[in-house]
Amino acid sequence: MKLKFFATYRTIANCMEREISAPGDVWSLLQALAEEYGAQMRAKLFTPDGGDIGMDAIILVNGMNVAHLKGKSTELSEGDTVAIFPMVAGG
Amino acid sequence: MQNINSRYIRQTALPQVGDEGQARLGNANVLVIGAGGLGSPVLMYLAAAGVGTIHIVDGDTVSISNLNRQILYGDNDIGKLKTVCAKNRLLEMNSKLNIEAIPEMLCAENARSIVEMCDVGVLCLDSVDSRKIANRAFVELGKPYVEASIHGFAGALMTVVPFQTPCYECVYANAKEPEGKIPVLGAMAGWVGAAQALAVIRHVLEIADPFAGSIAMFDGELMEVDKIAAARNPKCQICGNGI
Repeated sequence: MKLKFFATYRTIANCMEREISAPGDVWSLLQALAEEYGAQMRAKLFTPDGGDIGMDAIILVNGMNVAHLKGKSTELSEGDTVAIFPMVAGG
Repeated sequence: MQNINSRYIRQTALPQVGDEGQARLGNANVLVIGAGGLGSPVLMYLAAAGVGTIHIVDGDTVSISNLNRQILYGDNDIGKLKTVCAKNRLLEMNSKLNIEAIPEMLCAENARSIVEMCDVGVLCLDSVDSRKIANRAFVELGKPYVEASIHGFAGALMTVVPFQTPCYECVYANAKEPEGKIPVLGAMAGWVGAAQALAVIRHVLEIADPFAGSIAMFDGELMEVDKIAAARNPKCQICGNGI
């Protein structure tokens, strides 16, 4: 599957996009990314208690926000595209 | 007529604009919600381009901490209503325009009556809740709008054409209000706001949108603009069947 980072996530990962083997679900993917990229990535991807997706992270699977799918339990398959970008709300 | 021709000659020279396009801009009726960091460049570029009718919605007054990015205003405007200052500034730039100042904050009670006034909207808001209120009104009335936001060195822009492209709720359904004051560089507001104005002008001129159905993500650290493909949620509570 294809993984795309945008804005601050791209800066932290130092990577625009990469091909990876599809983990079981979104939660497994986020855990793997936090493990690979360290504390800064973990702080952005997860809530402070580590139990859910953090409010900074917008995660689209094939263009669809995971909130409309099965949230952190959304399954991932080969051929999927996952986009991760920050919540931006100022004006 | 000669003065009008001279005023816009550098844009009517473009084949995408011409006299017909300029007339369209002159007849356009645009609603700008939020006259802050994004709203400042949006309003100035729309006025400079000759957009004939511009409604400005904002209930706030100018404060000194606005001035790093809200380039419509200066020291002498502190404490005054933004809509009134903005209207005066825009009429100084282009006195022939019809500018309406609406010194109110958008809310669930007034959103529909405000959105009804326009053909196309520009959201330059600073909260998730107000974007969701505006999104609902625009979708219910079937009117397109250009939404943008900024935070630090990041910006995001999305044009919503109801029932054709994803709406704000489709993309940001689970978004929460950020905590604390959002750090913003004025130049980021200028970059993204200018892109919003361009998107509106392109819409009025019926120039095809290469970002339709996508989010344009502005990265001021890497100086890149990316396209993030987004999809409509068929079950969206606002633009889908809600089931």
